[in-house]
Amino acid sequence: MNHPSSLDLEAFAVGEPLPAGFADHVEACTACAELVGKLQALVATGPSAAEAGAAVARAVARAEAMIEVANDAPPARQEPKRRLWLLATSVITPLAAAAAILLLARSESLQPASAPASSPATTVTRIQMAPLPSAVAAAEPETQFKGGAQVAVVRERAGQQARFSSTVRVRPGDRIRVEVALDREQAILGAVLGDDGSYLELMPDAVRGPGTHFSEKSAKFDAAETRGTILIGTREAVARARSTHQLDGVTTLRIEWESP
Amino acid sequence: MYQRYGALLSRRCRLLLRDPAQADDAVQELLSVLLRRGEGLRAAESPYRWLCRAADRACIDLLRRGKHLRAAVDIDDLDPVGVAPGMDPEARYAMVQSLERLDDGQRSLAIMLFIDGMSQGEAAEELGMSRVTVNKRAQDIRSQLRISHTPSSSDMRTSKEARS
Repeated sequence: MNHPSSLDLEAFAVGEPLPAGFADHVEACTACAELVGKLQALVATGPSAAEAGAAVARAVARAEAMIEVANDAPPARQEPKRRLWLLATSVITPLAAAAAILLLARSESLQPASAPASSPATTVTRIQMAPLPSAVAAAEPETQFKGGAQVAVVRERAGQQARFSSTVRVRPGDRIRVEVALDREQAILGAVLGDDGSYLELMPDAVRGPGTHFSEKSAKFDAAETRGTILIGTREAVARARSTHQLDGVTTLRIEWESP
Repeated sequence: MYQRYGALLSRRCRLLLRDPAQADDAVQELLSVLLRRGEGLRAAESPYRWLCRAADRACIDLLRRGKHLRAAVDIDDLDPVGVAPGMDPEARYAMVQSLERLDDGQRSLAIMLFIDGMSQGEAAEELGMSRVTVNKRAQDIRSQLRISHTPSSSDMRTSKEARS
């Protein structure tokens, strides 16, 4: 005889509704009925109202000491990054374009027929600029990136900021903000999933363009020891990771506790 | 809610941790999670199942943090109810004894198969994996438990197909 799972029998014992036929099986099966009877006896010996009240009060105190969400401004680190970006776009890019034009002009002036075969400079130029056979060129796929998101964390501790691209260690008073670099437009959501099952969204689900994005919210850590994982991915992938704790399909970064 | 589910959740935590004091800590942590992030419970099809998974995570976290500190009481002294019909008591015993030696992914699956008595199909559905993957991982767990458990431990059966 096939019996229901232990989990279902336990749910039945606490009075949760279960699929049709389940109760019939329990009625007909002596072993299952016996187990459900034992479980119901155990449930009856559960915490009294006073005990439950005391436990909840302790849990309230504990919960209040946990993660605090802050909606303040992005970290000051953004400013130097912006300056670097300006430097890259205003100086480096024009220089690179000029170098490319020079190379192209030089290669056109050094045609293979007019150059001595023994000239090393010409050989190098020919290798660099050799056109692909048309069939090969047509079959060559266009450049593609693997995609996904590069995740880092900016940790603020006592006014000092540090950036981590692998495990970040936190202690009471630390605040973290997530930094996500995208190579193309993607709909992503960013969150912290605590090992205890707690869940905190730092970047709401939204379509974000290529570039670097900081989380709209930061997470501040209080005295309670906290470990978890930062999850970045589509809303569905993050939800799946949250419910199953299987991290396939999301980009992650680990948060570990550091004793003060 | 705590009055209704507390006893069964305590039993579960004691079984997974084999340490009554740590089990109390796990239940306390579970309540704290409920207060902070309990919105998932309201949407859950089975609140008990949701609470069990949250309790599992609290226990796994405690196992990870303090596996050397546990009293590791024998499960026969901790679970007056016993094993559900159709489940292999030896497999359950071996799994509980070796839980701290498995990695986090293996623990979640091992709990589903050997504590909850779920079928591989049910576990695959809950974990969002294919049955083939679950089967492969279950085999890994079984072979790992054989190594880490006493040689007299009998061969473990694949989790039953509980319901049609």
